[in-house]
Amino acid sequence: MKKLKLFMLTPALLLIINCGGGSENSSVAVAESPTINTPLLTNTDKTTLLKDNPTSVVTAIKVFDNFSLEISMIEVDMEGEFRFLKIMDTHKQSLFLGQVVHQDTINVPLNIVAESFPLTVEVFSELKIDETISYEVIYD
Amino acid sequence: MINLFFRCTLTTYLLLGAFSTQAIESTLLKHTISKGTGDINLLLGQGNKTISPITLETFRVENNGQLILGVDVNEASSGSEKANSQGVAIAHLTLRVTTRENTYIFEEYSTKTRSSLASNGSTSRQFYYTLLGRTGSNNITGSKLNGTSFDDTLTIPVDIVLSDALSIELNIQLLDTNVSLGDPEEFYDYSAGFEDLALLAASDVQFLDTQAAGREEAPLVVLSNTPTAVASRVYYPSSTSYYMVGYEDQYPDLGDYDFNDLVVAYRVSFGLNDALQVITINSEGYLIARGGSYDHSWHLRIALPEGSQANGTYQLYVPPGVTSGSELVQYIDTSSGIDVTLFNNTTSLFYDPASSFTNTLWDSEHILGHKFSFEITLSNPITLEQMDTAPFDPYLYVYDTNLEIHLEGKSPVMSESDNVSQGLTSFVDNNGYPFALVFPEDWRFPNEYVDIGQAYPKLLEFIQSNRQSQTDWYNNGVASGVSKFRKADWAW
Repeated sequence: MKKLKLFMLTPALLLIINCGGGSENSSVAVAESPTINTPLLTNTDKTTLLKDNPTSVVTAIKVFDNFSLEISMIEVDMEGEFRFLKIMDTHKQSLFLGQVVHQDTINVPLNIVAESFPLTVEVFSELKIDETISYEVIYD
Repeated sequence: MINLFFRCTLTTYLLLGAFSTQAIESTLLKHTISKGTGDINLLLGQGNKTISPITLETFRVENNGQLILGVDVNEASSGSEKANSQGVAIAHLTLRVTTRENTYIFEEYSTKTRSSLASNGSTSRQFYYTLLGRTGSNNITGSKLNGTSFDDTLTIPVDIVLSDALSIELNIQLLDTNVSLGDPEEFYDYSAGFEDLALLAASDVQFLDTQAAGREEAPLVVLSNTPTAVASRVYYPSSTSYYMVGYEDQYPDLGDYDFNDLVVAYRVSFGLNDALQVITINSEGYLIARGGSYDHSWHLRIALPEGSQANGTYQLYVPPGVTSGSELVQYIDTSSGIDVTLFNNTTSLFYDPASSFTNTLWDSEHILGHKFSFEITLSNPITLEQMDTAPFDPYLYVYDTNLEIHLEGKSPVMSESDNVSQGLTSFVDNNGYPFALVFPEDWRFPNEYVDIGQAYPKLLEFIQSNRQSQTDWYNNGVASGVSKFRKADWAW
């Protein structure tokens, strides 16, 4: 599992996170590719059928990867009684949402695809005077 | 309360005893909340039946000096809102009571739940009271609400006697949330309606508050009076999307390698307590396609630490237009971890009358599949580190071969299967090719007989580069080789 560390120090800080250890063989550099709309291949010399292309490289053809996002809450200073944490992907889909209390560090295991990045981490309270702290997490 | 003229004297409370001796039944109101706004005459019931001020006073007395309204939350099942859980938030509320002498305005109110939300145009959040619910009957029996779908309660303290009121009018405005922020705002928007209202007798108040409809799966719920059990939730893959898992059921042969012999969409969320320990597990999903002739059962297994105990319920929903069957509720045996058979006998459960395949031929009409949901409560909290990792173990059991098919790296789990006896405990072939793959929900599975490498030409380069290039291969299918169906077709 990859580990991403996030320290809540300064609002609006853009963090670029290096992911170390854990999951093997994974580059998540996302390349934009146009949708292919070509006739199906029939020439077996150039076939992309997997059964025509035995490979000795035994590699997981998995799309999702596991990440552990570590968030330090020690420096979060808010007036409100409650702390809420929200983690969402680049499509604003929630990966984690709810109330967090009594934790200096929060570890959230995520299972996402490369194109989920950048993630957004928000910490907010129940009071308007507490500005939402927001960070981007970019997988490098 | 803002008393515009003078407060009622305590002597009026002497009348309370007389009213409280009369049993009273909950009463539906004529007016509703529409498009986020409600102007409600509390003296007018459904069918234009007059409700007397004395009756209102009886409701107030029975509920200890409060008017308590039942609310039928009736929102569209979109985004993270769904049939099981939907909600709105209250921006403000005014109750105006007019008597011969005075007008009294009440602006205090409460519900059982709150959430920290940003209004439309703002990114600053603050607490708002929320109303939660779900689709379907509330199961209230023995009252005028019998057979209705009221969900939540709205309490308005009223410290004056209402029996001599000339008019009692309620204005309620729901919060227009900033849906561009995603959840929780997207969940608590008002997107549909109408929200029906009813005056509640005390017994129905207690029933609805105990039911807590939709609360379990709603995001960012803070209970108004007691600590919140589920303080937060972690979603796999997200609160609004699904995994899509496809299988090749000819295992251990590769077959046509089109990964559409069974295709299922599913998602899982863990409810966490304030120590970030898992206390509940929820899941839901759909049958998407069946491109094999073999009969299957589809299972979702989430391993739990040894000795864990849990209980829960599972519901199978029959798609609209299917005449046989109805909603089924079964109890889940979680004595050895969570392993739920969610779709059984797929050939009879999910078939196209015009074809031996369902939704896998290029020109086939779309057939809606069944959907499921389950809720599990753990007897003892489990830390996130101890929990099984997503995408968990979605596996297929093939009746015709008596073999299980799991994701790569998983092991057989069924004592009745032949996997172990035949030495088939690895779910990749000699070249490392798997028999089950998990994708994002917008993955378009190959059409019948189309090898996945042919449908997705970049896959081969992805494999041969050891996952270093063409990482988005699954987004780039050849149009003529992949399914035309999308989430809008199968999610219902």
